[in-house]
Amino acid sequence: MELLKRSFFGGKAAKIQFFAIIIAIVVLFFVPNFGSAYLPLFLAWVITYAVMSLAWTLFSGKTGYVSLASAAFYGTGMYVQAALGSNLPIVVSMIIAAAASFGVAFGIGLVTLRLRGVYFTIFTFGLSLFLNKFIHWYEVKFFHTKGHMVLAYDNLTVYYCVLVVFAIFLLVVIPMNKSRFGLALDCIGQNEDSAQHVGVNTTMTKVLAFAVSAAPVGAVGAAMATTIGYVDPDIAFKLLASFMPVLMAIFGGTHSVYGPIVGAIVFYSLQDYLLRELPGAYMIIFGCVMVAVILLMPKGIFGVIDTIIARRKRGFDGEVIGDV
Amino acid sequence: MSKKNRTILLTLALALMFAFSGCGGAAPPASGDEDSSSVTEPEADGWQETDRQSIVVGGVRSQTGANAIFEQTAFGPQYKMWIDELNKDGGIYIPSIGKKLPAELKIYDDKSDAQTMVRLYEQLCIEEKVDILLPPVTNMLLLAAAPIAQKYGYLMIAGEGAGTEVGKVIAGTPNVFTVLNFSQTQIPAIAELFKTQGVTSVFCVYVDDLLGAEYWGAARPALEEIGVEIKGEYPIPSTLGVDMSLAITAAEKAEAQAFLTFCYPDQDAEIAANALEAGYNPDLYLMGPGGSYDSSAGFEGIMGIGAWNEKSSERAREYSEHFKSYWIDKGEFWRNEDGTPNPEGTVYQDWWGHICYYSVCQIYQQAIENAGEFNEDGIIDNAKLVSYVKANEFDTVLNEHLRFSNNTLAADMYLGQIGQWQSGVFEVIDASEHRTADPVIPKPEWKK
Repeated sequence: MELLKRSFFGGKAAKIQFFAIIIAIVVLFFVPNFGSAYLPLFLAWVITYAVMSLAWTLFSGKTGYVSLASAAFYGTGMYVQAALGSNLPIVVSMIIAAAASFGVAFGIGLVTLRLRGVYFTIFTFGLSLFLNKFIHWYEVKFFHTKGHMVLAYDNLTVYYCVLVVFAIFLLVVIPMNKSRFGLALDCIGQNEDSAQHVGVNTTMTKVLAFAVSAAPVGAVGAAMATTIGYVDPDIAFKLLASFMPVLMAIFGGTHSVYGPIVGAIVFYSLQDYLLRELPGAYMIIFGCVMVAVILLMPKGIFGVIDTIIARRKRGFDGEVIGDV
Repeated sequence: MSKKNRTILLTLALALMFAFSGCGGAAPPASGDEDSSSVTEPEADGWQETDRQSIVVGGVRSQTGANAIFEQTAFGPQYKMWIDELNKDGGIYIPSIGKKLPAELKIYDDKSDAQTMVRLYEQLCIEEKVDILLPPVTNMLLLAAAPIAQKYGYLMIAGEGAGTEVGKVIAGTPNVFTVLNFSQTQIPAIAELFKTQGVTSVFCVYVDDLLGAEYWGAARPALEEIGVEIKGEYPIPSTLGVDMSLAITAAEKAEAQAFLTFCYPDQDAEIAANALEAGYNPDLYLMGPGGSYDSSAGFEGIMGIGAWNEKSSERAREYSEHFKSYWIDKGEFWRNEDGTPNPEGTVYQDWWGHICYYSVCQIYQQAIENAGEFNEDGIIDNAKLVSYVKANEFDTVLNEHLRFSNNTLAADMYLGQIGQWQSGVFEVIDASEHRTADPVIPKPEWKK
């Protein structure tokens, strides 16, 4: 409770942040009433990617362990919805999907988070592939088919479902960043050996962060499965779902909670626009934007803005800026 | 960065998002027919039927990605030819306004991805408010698209997919109809052929995918039931770059009398090329998709699923000649008028699906020309089209009296289920009144 107070009411800035989040959520709640009927689906996808990107940043941004397992958790959520969605309310199946993704991540984390560097990245990449191929084999072998139909929900319901996940996740992530747990993750990211020496249970901290970051991804996967109507391993465990959150987080900046959100908004909006307006050049433009971001803004949009503001402040303080 | 600045940046990002999301109105068409006229945006208030200048036929097709080959060679040519000729004839007749309107194709590319396809269909239905909705490419995408057509009340007639799984879906989506014959009508014909020809054993290579599962999942029990010994099966992944010679080696070892391949067209062709190279020549060789393409004509004696040819009926012959001459004139047919190969040509005849795909166009057209009227939103009333399609017969190249039964076609609507390449013609060989030649078993030796 003390942590919550400190995170959201500990000073003027924290209060502004808290009320800004609440206002944003309230605005997002009513926004679908003022746009086209397509708007809820569009926003649902933006929020889904924001959740995935934020989840990636929560773990990989802090610890420096680059995970490519987003597709595995997202796909797990989709398959839970495909299996249970016909018999359970969507909220219940989303909770189960979150728990399933948490469980998968926790189990995988226990086994793999002793690995470091590129080995961990390759393993997480392989996890999505493994789940894809395993479920594929299982379905064809035992059911002589591939994929499942998913009970469809209207776009507005799906939108509110992912919005709730987003709001809860945001209200969890911000205090978490300010907690001892968040500090431990930062320590691991800066120097894991040192973190261990100062008493951080590094393995369990990483495993927990990995699992916590997987849960909302599973939940939004379950919700979004209902917009597709049919799920098979190739759809659920699509490798692009592992890369997009990483790109969005890098684009927005991984040193702030808001970076991945901005990255998701800009990236998805751009993708949506290009798909319709310049379908032939979509991937080329997308690729160019990505290369430009990595070359020119390695810390993302928020990193650039931070740098500009810091320079301006130094300038006001009478320091020399550049060669001027 | 201060929290104030962060809030400003977030606000800017949100503004950008709303700008891109098209809140301000529908986006212009991404692609379409070159000859088509502009679209008049329907307006709910004060809208009048006479405002409409064209009928918009929308679709999400796989123009790039893994499915693009099917769109380029099988489906796309039918729709393009249909719209082009429709417009040359003055357009499509709308009975409620008593005149013809030109048709405009508005096609988005789903990049062979289901999630992208769903998003683009939603845009076509909600924002673009197209008049007619074409189905997507392949069974898997049709499974995802059918609920969307149902949700927004659009008629969807698909030549692009069929089978057991699709059958289950369309049982719950009464607006969706399928025209293509598939495992449910072809496997009984294959079993009958095995029985009448005294085939006793079989080896099957199938793609480890929905397609393979549908076909081999249906064929295996059907053949076992008539006493055919299953000498072995060999699943292959749906990815490219699989060494097919291993499948042929396994088949040779099994020494089965019959050899079946239920894979994607390029895979089936590669397996046949490997069999030819290895000199593997079973008594009965039946290819799945791709066996009915003109490109397989050189595989003398190979059987394929399908099936029809120019001898099947007068209207089938007329359609075949028409299709050929249309694409020869465009310079895109794989052969020139004098029969010599056209290296630039990408359009082939498919003696299984083509006649079904063109029939889809005819059904759409006849439904609109008989029951087409605009609803209060200013688009063609698809509910009326659905009722019309359910209740009426259609005069198509496939069948003069084509009629749906539970939103699919019964086996007797087709011109054949199995074909065999005999002297460059894909002869219909199944034991029915549609047979155009007797089956040749054992298959002749390969000719390199």
